[in-house]
Amino acid sequence: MGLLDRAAKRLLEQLHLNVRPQATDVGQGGHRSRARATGLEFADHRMYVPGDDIRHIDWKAFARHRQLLLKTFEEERDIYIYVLLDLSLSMTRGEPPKLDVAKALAAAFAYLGMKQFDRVRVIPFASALGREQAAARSKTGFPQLEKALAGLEPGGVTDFAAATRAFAERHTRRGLVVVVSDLMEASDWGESFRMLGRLGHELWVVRVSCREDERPDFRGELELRDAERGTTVRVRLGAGVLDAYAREVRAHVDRCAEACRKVGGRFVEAPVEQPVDVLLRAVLAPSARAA
Amino acid sequence: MSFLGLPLAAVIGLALSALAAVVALYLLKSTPRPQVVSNVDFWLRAVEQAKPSWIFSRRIPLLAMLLTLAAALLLVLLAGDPRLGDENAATTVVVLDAGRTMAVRNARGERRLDQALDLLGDVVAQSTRRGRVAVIRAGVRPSVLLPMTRDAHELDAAIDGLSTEEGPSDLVAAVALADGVVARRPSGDDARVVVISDRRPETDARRAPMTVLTVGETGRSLAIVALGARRDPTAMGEYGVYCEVRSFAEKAAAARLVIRDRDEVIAEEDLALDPGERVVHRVRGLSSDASEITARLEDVAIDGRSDADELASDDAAYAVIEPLTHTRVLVVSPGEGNRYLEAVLGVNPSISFERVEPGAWDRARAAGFDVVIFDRVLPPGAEGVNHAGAMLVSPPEGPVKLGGAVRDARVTAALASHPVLDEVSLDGVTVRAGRALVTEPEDRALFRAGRDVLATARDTASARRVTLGFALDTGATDLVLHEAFPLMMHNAVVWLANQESLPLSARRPGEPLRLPGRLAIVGLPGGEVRDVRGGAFFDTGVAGIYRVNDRPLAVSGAEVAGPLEVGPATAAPAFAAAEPPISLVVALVLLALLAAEWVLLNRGRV
Repeated sequence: MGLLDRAAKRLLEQLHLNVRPQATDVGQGGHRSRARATGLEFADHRMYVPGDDIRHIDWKAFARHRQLLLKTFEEERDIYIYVLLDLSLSMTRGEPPKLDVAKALAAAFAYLGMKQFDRVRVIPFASALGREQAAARSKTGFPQLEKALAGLEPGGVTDFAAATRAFAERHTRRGLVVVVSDLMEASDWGESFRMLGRLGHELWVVRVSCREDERPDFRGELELRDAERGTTVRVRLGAGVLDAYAREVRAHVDRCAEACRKVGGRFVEAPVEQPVDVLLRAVLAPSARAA
Repeated sequence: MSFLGLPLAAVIGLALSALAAVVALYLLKSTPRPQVVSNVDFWLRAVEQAKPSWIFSRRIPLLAMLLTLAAALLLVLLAGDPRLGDENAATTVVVLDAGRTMAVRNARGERRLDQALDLLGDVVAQSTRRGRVAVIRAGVRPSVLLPMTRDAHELDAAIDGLSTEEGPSDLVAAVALADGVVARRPSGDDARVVVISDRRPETDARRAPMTVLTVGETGRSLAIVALGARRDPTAMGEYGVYCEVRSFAEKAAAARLVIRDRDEVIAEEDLALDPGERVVHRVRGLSSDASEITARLEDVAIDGRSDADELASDDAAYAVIEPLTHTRVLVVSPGEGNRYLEAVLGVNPSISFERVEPGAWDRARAAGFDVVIFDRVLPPGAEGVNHAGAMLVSPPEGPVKLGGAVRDARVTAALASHPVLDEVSLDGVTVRAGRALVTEPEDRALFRAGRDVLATARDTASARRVTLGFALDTGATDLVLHEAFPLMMHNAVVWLANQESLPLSARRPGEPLRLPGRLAIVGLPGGEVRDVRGGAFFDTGVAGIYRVNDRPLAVSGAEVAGPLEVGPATAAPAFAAAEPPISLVVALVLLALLAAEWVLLNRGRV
């Protein structure tokens, strides 16, 4: 069985991925762009200056205002969609594992992009970028991408800053960057988000979470082992420590969300305990419009 | 503090076990379990943030362990039923009723004795936890069933085969015996007496608090309450039987009364009795040299139910008619003789007498008589008084040593245990004129007035002799006018003739039989025969016809039959020591500890 079932695909068929115009590429596609050209969608009037194409002079406006006004049109262009998929070992926690849900979400973004003839890249990362999966510009290539995603194995320690730097060097074209991760690394993710923003990308962060990360029900004397680094720490857990832990995680996630929003991005929570179709609606629906 | 529920050793053992278990559990609890998490950095920050500010919180595992330990120890304490007071051991003496009414069965077929034994087991088990216990069996005569012991298991052997007697239990004597046992307890020990019976004793223990545990329910019965058989004084050789049946049931009852002489039915009657009714059945004109009478109620039905009679032992009664005896008496009396003496001998159908003048006496003639009475005379020579059975009435000086004169002397002391004075009361008897007797070593003073011996009895290997220091006429004594006179004379003749027998009246079950000699052969109702030494036989708990040297003797419980009522129930067995219980205090402390443990460990103060 693939990462997306028929129901999920039917749902995705009804959705359309909206991206801010400034993140569009130069190629012709289905997204509104900031470029004013010979598109079909009327955008605005501006004063005629010599050199402009006189075919776009609005003569009716000239008749009413005695001013030469030029009609401008929006040009619809395609976009690059970069899905940064967290493959660190912390993604193996949860029931179902966070990585399974993250793969499904990445596949969903890829499916939407293919449907809209966008250029989709699924790029796994942990402490560095992994081998990216380039998708065809049509849905015919989706099964191959889905298979490749399913075959990805977890490993390594999360270092999003290093991964982001490598991504910036490798991919210079603007686009939509979707970070699918549990964000369970206590370092500052905000700097990396800001760098992506400065590069002109539109940033979406999908945080895949599980109950164990949010509010575990551990009690008593425990030897906690870090899933990524293998380090251990012995603690005696009571309600006080659990409350403090929940507050720590929440504060970290809130900081990440704030940083994401500051660069104009979207931050979405995706608890693994929820069904995939619910997650897809939660993640995609607010920004998507019906096709 | 003392413990009522468990022995001190058990409490200590349990406490040590609890200590070991709690410590082991906490060691186990403090061993960390491995747990993989996404990132430990968040946990480290959380632990740092949640560091306890209360200094004692750092030691909470230890505190929690101590609290749990204290709670466990308090639970052990509760199980031991702690009491305020010293550690004195307790002596418990249990009086177990084994009388006839304890054989009454209830609707479930359970005897009162069975219920009593269940209670006894509980009492003994409780008592041996803290001290020692003894059990006294209250039958017709109390006896020690279980000597003082600390081992409750010894009770099983003691009550093995225990059964009820067919006579009434003497609870007063049993309680007195219990008092005696209590008196011998070690100084400083607490003591109590527990009576397990179907009624309350008519006395209280004097040396210890007494608790009465009542068992049983009021029962229904049809009973033979009296059975007598005696010879007709007007027709020698004939006898009559008197039998009385009474209903102790609240419903109408019916039965067939069958009276047998040995195996021969001599009377049979169908009876129908209303609640509480008494029916008397008499049989007269029966003739027999000796009889063994058995009266039995057969086919008893109460309210139409054949199984409603709850006590079987009162359905039978026993009596005997002694064989006829004949004693020949020779009275040697001067002049016109002694009319009082001759009258009293004449009315006794078992005695035939002949009077002769002193001059007509000779040894050869006397040899044909069982007893010779010398009234105010003595035969010439000392040999005359050496007859096998001789009675000397106011003898002149001679072979009998006489003391000073006695005038108007009232009898002040009598040897009631002597067969001559059996059932004889000499209260108020006065000797107006006579001589005191000088006793010799083989003589026993029968009665006296102050220091003056008025009558003696001598029992040697070859002869018996009774000597009176006064004449048997109204000028010498008023004894001849008392009802004691014919009885004393009868006893004297029988004793002198060496024909004294066991009392003819039926004895109650459990009462001892007095045997005629130091060695006797006793046949029991079941057919068993025993050689008995010691002059008495005590194993008479079963009613029936006993045989002492082939002489029949009836042991019957008819005269003790009565209603099968149960005494007032005791509210609750007061087994607890006098010290007040502190369980409530311990339980409250326990609750407080558990609450503290919850606050420390379950409210997140880590």
